[in-house]
Amino acid sequence: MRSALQKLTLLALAGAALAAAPAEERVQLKSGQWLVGTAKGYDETTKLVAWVDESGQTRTIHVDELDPRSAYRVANSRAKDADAETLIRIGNFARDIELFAHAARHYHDAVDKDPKVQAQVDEQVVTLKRRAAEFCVRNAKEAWARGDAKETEKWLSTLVTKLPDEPEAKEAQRLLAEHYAKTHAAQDDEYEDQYKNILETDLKTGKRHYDNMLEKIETALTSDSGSKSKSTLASAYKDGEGALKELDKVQKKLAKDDPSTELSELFDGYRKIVKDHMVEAQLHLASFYTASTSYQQALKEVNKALALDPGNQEVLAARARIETAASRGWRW
Amino acid sequence: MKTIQTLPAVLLTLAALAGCRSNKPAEPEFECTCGDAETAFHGCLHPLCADGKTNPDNPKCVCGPLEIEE
Repeated sequence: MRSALQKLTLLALAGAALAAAPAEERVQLKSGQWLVGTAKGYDETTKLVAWVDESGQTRTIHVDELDPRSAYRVANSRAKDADAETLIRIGNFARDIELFAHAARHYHDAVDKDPKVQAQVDEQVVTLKRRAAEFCVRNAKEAWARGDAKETEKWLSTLVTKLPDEPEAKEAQRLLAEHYAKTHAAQDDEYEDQYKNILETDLKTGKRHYDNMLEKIETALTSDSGSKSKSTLASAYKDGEGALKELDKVQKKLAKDDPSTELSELFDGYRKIVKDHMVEAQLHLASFYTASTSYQQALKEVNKALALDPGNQEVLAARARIETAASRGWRW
Repeated sequence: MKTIQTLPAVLLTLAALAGCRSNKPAEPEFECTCGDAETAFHGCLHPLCADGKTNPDNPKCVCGPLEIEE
């Protein structure tokens, strides 16, 4: 028993030693090469990091030799006990290498530390928004060039809902209108061709609700007024509900004469298309509310989307981000 | 001595309790998406990243500061 106790003590001591030892770190040089080792010190004046590699060899690395993301981690190592001015500087560094969420967090921490820097932070946030808008446009253009319509739409709508006052938002609205005209109409073409008869008869009302929904989503994202956008998206969701109700009603009616799985699959397919757009409307709506810091309303809207599609990772991520924004007050 | 003898039983009970299913809905598990453009814009939802730590499994993760032994 005694030896077991000794072993336990040794294990505990080893554990404590491990916990105290600095973690092995990885930094990347501008050349792309990764260095694995331990950072032994950093001199802010000379911008030199004392580095010991895996074999125990010591060297110094100038921050300018590092890839910007690794250099940011060096700067961030000073954030814990930093004053507000330093936090703003670290935030600017993050912003300038397009780590916008990181920048927003440092700015928020700076104001937390010293509320007197609020005006200074507001000034930096103006630049943050400018750079972020340019970033959205660039990503949208790149996605468009490689034929990724969904990604294009995502970046354009992010720009419109999150950064509506940036000059690029106007151009994004125009591009979104064009994009919707092409992609949304094409999405149900397959069904429209195959089931023309049902759509023109039994599902006429449902189809009208669906078309209204799409039109309203487009109107909301291309509107100049935030409040109009919100009310139009809420109305689009209601149209979606109307379309789903019609689908249930008509399926029940038709199933009496045609209990085939083909009919059932057809209606499931329609439901999915309708629900996907309802989720899209809710995500846009939640994004508008988040941008205006109405977090509770944003959560309400995102929860409606989650009720439609409980496992949707995009919606779950949106909810988690709203919760973070609400609890920590990061906003930009 | 008695304390040491009862230790396995206590550990087993704790393990069993930890394995109990809770009625609370499971929290979604988010992967570390650091390095993606979307994550640069919105932030990463991985628990380590949300805690301001670097995820060692993702070399592109920059959520934590460089740990410096000083």
